[in-house]
Amino acid sequence: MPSKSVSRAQSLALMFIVAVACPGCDYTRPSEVFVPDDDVVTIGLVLSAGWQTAYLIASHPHRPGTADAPVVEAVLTGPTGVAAFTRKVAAHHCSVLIDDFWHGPHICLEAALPAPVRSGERYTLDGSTRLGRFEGMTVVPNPVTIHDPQGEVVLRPTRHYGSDIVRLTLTFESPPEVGLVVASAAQAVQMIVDSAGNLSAEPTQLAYVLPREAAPDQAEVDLGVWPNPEFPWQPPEARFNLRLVGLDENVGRFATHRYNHLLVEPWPSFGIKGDEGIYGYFGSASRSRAVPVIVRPS
Amino acid sequence: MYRIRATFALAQIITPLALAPPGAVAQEVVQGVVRDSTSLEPVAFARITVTGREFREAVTDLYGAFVVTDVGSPGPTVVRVEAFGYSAWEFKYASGEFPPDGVRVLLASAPIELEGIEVAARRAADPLSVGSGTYMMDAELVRAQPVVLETDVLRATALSPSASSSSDWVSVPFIRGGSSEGTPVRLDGVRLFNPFHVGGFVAALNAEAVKSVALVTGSSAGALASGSLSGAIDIATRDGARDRLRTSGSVGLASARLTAEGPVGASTSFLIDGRRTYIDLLTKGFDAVGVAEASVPYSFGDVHAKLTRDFGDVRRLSLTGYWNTELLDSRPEDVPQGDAAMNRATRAQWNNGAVAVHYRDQFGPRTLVDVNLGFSGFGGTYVVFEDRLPDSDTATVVRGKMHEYQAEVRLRHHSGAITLDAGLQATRFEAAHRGLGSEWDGSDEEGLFLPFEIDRSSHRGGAYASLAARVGRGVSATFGGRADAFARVGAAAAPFAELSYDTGGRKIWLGASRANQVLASIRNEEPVTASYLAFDLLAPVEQGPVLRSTELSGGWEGRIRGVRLRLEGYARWLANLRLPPLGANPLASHLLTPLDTRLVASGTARGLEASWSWAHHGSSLLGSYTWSRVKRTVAGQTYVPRFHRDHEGELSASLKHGASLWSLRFSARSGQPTTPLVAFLPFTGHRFPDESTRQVTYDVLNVAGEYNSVKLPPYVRIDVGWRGSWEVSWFGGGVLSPYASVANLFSLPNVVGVGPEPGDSSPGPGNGVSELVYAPQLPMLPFLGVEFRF
Repeated sequence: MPSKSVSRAQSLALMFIVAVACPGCDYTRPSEVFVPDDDVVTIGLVLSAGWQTAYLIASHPHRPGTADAPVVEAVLTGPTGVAAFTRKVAAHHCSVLIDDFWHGPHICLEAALPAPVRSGERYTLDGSTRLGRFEGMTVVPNPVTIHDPQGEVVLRPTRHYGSDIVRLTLTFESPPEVGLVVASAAQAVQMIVDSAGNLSAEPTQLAYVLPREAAPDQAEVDLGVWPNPEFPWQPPEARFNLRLVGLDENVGRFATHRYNHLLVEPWPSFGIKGDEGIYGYFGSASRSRAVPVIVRPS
Repeated sequence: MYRIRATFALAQIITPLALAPPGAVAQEVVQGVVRDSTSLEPVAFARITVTGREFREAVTDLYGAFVVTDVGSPGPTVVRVEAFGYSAWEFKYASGEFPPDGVRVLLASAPIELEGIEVAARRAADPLSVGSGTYMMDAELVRAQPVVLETDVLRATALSPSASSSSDWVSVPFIRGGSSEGTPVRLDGVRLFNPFHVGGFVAALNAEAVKSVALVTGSSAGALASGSLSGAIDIATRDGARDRLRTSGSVGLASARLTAEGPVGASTSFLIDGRRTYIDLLTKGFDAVGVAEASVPYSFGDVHAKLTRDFGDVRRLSLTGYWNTELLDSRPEDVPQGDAAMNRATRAQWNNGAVAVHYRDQFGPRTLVDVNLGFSGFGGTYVVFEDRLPDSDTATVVRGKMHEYQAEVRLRHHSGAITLDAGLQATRFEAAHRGLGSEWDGSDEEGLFLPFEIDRSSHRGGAYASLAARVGRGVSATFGGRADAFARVGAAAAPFAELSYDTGGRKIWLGASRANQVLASIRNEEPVTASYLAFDLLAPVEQGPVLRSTELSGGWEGRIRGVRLRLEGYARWLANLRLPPLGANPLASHLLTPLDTRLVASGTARGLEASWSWAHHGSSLLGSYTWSRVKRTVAGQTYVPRFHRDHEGELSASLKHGASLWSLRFSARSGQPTTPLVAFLPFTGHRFPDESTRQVTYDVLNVAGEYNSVKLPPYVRIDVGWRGSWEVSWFGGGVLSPYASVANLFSLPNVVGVGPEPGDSSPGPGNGVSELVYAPQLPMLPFLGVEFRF
């Protein structure tokens, strides 16, 4: 019997040691920094219908931002001719408004086209990087048609979560080649009356148009427009043009997958096909007619 | 020649049934029941030897019954019964006349150590001793495993080489490349739906009440009755004691269990057991006294009861009832860091109940008849309320309801060298599932389910038979099949054949089988959430083809120096599965998707399995190793399912030393498949040059390689456990068995999945770098408790 008692005591002691000692151990496998091939090059390009310039952004997304940007040669071929991406410009032309937002060293290149980009036309892209060649193709979609409102709209701001916003509903119809619809506000001005009673228009900035995106098969979208907090709506009125931008299916597919955070093979086409290590998207956009909006704060 | 043999075999079956008077046959047949002399509970797997002019042997079934045929013409005959843990029983019938209502054997317990007996029939804690195609875990073996939260009868089955745990968080294993839809878990013959708690972490079955758990692969004749794609997990409960009232139970970290059993009159016994968690009460108490900052509004409980009437011979009637319930009622005031932070309330409740009636009788001395009636039901609701209060807007609702009604008549007829098993089944299955909303909890982007609404029922009429015959010296053939008529879907046949050669101690076999079913799961096994939640909702497919499994298997088993060894190889072809298309990101896909969005898919599985058991001087060692390959093909895409591992090894050792039973379990597995990342592709929303907002979208698309084409890190885990045994004089005398265990002793960082976590895209050096974030398996966790028996 004593031996049994000793055995029990030893058993309990060992179990106690194990129970006390091991909770300190690290059982969770730590996250690992994703270390892929750092030669990878990404290309991004969306043509804007009606504009005579095109902007291409290329980057090494797996390299530190202090490294050299990739060297890319590319030409765009359209119905009116060929244009090479030769001029380095500031990143904001490529929609990168804050440099640090972008992954890795990047370069924004401009191509001057012989004529404005035209809806319904086919454009091709050919290029090369140190990793090899890439090519792409897009057909510029026809514009989205806004059915209503048909003319100028006058709105009064309403209070929404601490901001004075204006709301309006657009009914629209997208052509079949459109893969994504995006709301856009442009040519925003604030009308100012000076002491002499003269009226002038000062360019201004807006904050958001939300929801920014809509599905092409939607027939209607309720939009809210937020003023820039630094430049709230002022009497007598502010003006801007509201449009819906139709993006082609290459960008539409990209938008469908971008929040998945994992895209397994086989990859859908985003408009660019490249040698191993070259990834990207090549799309195009065209705008609807403008809906002039006048905001008259009370 | 073949025709002559077939005619002879048929005559052997028909003649005794139809022509021979009972008295004449009785001298050729010994039948009866073996029971424990104290509790009068049936003793399963006892070895019966009959020595007269001929030597014959048999093994008792789960109800302690046996039939030995062809014992020879009248004359002195010795019947001997041996079973683990009992003294041998022997009686000499001088004239060879056996009791007409059967031999009643009462075995007296023998205080022997684990190694003290090596009966040729079944030794306790030897899962290999029942026969090919079955891995049998009895109560002794279950208790010899280190405890993970609770003594768990389902988790223990993962020792079988045919079983694979999809993750540490799920106690129910998958069988040979199948998934949960193909492997019903049955309690006393009736299917249980989702018989687990804590999302699948612990079985909702009281180990005290369980007699044995049989893991049946689809390649055995024993799987014919289940008619399912990937075998079955059959749980048999004990009858109650018939000598006096006994109580037993346990108090553990998470719950307390209590079992009471005893006689009701002279020939009836009852057994009732229940469990209730106190996670909610404990954490609420801790919260009240300031030890913890939050309570866990989660509770579960289960009740099982069994009433058994013994008619004295092989006839018996039992009624089993089962109920379990689980509730998660998460209010913001209870979990301030959880639901309140997300501005929501969650309520999840599910119940599972079953009733089974079993009646056994006999037609003459050679034929045992079993009648089973069963009902099983599951109902669950998962609701997420927005804005905290349950009476506010509902963001998400998932309701699941399943009912199964089953009636079965089954007979086993022994005639000379031939044994016939046959049965008729009628089953009705009802499913009503509904999922509204599209998001996990009303706020997350990656959803738990796609909206679904399923309300359908199905009928299945089935007949099955298998004939086992000794056709030569050591050569046996078993063949048969199953025919099913599925209402509205059609009929399907499932043939079965096995040829074996037994040299007494060693056996080789080769078999082929097929199985069909119309039940399909709306679960998707590919998202990471499937590794954490085991809940399954089944529904019959509305139209054919029926889901089908075809399997070839062969193996060898024998003993080498005290080690029982089984080697088996198999190849399976799964056809007409209903699987969701892979999609662009299966890891984050929905766990539940409607059947009408599924595609007809296929799968294959092949593997080599080795398992062994050994016992010597108080030590026992069980182990298994499996190499396998599993694939699924849907919409032209072939992939390795995420739950699969190529190599799996299990080792379970127990050492009895004095009053202590030490146990260790070692698991080593190759990594599960995962998808390699090859690049991340930054993206910015397009802007026309004259835009008046500075609004823009930035994101990253993680470009990945072929789905599941690489492996996660390998898996290694060691669990240790200890059980004591102290005799106490309380309540008239009893035994206290404290236990302690540590799961994942060395806190090895095993993982069950990995996914990319996009980097912070806000300005700053180093931001934007994606990380690989691992989904963890079980950490090091200690468990304590005490079991008692009075």
